[in-house]
Amino acid sequence: MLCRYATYFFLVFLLGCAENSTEELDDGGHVVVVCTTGMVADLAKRIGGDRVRVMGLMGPGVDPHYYKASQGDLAKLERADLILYNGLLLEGKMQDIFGKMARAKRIVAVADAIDKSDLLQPAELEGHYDPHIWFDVALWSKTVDSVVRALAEIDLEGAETYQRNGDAYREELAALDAWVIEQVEQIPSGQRVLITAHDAFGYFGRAYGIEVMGLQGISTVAEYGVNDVTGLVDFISERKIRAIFVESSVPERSIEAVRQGCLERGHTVSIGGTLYSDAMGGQGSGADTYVGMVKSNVETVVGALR
Amino acid sequence: MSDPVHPTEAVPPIQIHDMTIAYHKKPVLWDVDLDVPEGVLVGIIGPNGAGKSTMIKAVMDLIPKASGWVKIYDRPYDQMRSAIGYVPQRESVDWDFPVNALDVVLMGRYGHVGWLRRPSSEDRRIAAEALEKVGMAEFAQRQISQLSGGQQQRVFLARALAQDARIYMMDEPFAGVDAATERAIIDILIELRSQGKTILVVHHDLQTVTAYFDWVIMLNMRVVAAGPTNEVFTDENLQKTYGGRLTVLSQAAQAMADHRRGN
Repeated sequence: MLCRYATYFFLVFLLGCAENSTEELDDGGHVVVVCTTGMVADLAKRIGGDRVRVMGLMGPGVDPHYYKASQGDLAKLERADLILYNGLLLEGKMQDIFGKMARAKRIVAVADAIDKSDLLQPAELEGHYDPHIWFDVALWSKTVDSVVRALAEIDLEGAETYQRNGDAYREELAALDAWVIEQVEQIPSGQRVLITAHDAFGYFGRAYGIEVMGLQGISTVAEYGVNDVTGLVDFISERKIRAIFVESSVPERSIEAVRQGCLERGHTVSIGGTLYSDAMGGQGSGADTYVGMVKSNVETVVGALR
Repeated sequence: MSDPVHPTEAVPPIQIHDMTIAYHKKPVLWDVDLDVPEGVLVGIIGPNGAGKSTMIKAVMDLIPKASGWVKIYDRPYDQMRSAIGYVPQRESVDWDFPVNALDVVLMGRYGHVGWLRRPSSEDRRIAAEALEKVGMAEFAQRQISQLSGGQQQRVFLARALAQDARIYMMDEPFAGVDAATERAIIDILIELRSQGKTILVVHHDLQTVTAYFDWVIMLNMRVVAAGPTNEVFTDENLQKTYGGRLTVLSQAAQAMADHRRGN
């Protein structure tokens, strides 16, 4: 008798396993994709379309360098069919969790799709790669295929849809890239200098021929020092740079210190406007998509420096 | 020039060896093994889900191979990226930033990624010329989203021309375009072939296969037949490719008969 029950339970257990291994689609037939940054979530939405349900962890204005997973995030991650993150240590505090979950879950760092030879290794990062890959639009578009692949492997029936959506998005990004190139051409070449408190624009500068000067190091985790401010004030005053920029994830006071310094030397530098750096804008800002965010930044930069 | 349909010693532009494509271990394209000769206009045909788009994407490394390899002029694709121009299947374009037709064509001149991209006056000249070729010169400053589907398709073709590739891959370039655009596209494909370029076209309309293509790859999750159209585009191979779909087949047979009479 006992033995028969045991067999029964064992069979139920086996059936349960079989069901899990077919990776049945959760949430009303949707593939559940959990993404860290808004930019990555936007990739998943555009490529996944109606077939996927995308949950983002980091909302508008959130700094991914600092971000720590909440209890609610862990629950989302548990439910995910696929986890997408930026990688290159952008999500500094999440790395350990991903490492642990990788054994049981499909986890993809979109930055892995980019050839290492195309990445920047700024001196401040001591051998690490600059993770802010999204502001070179053509470089970011290289991540599209890795998301297409990851989704197709989980949901084979949707493979063709993902391919088609991926193609369309890659095309849109190529056109956006061309648009950025054309816009930057409107800034007189001597004025192509972008001064911001956050060094998230290294790839942007390289791709579009803009000199980028930062106030802080690459990460907002590092504090800026008096020497940095003095050096920058000298540079701005001497080159008569017309505008500097504040971003959504950096305290405005660091920029204000520079502005005051310039004023003391008789040079008025204006605040060029808010650039999105590590996070997209909120709903209704026009920068709540990747394309909208790039467009907004370029319009802000070109408008202030032209 | 020697007969491109029956090549002799030259290095083939595309060599595909034992290539199998699988999604999560389920094969969608089996064991493709073929060489495409230089200077031919190739139609890739087969029913829905036969793996036509998958094949050209796998050649360009956009889809991982479960096994096998591809070589472009005897080299790995990585080293030959710029030799291939790709025109994906087109959805109507509705972009949220103002890009004009000339900008789109200029995209074909930005060969690589990551480093400073800036169009030279030479790039602009080539782009304008390409627009001229597809009969779209007067629309150079027009926003791309304000053009009709057929006009957009011509602009994207101009972009491929501006890239000046040696091999072109196009995914259903005739889908949803008007007759004038179809004619304009086929004329350009023929001109490209006469320049020694190799062109692969995923194609749906069996009735135009014999008229458009001198080479054909017939797919149904594997290669049913590949070779010069007049040798392999036969009733028997069509039967094998499309199975029992007789309407399609009789249409194709009719078209072939018409074409023969036409010759």
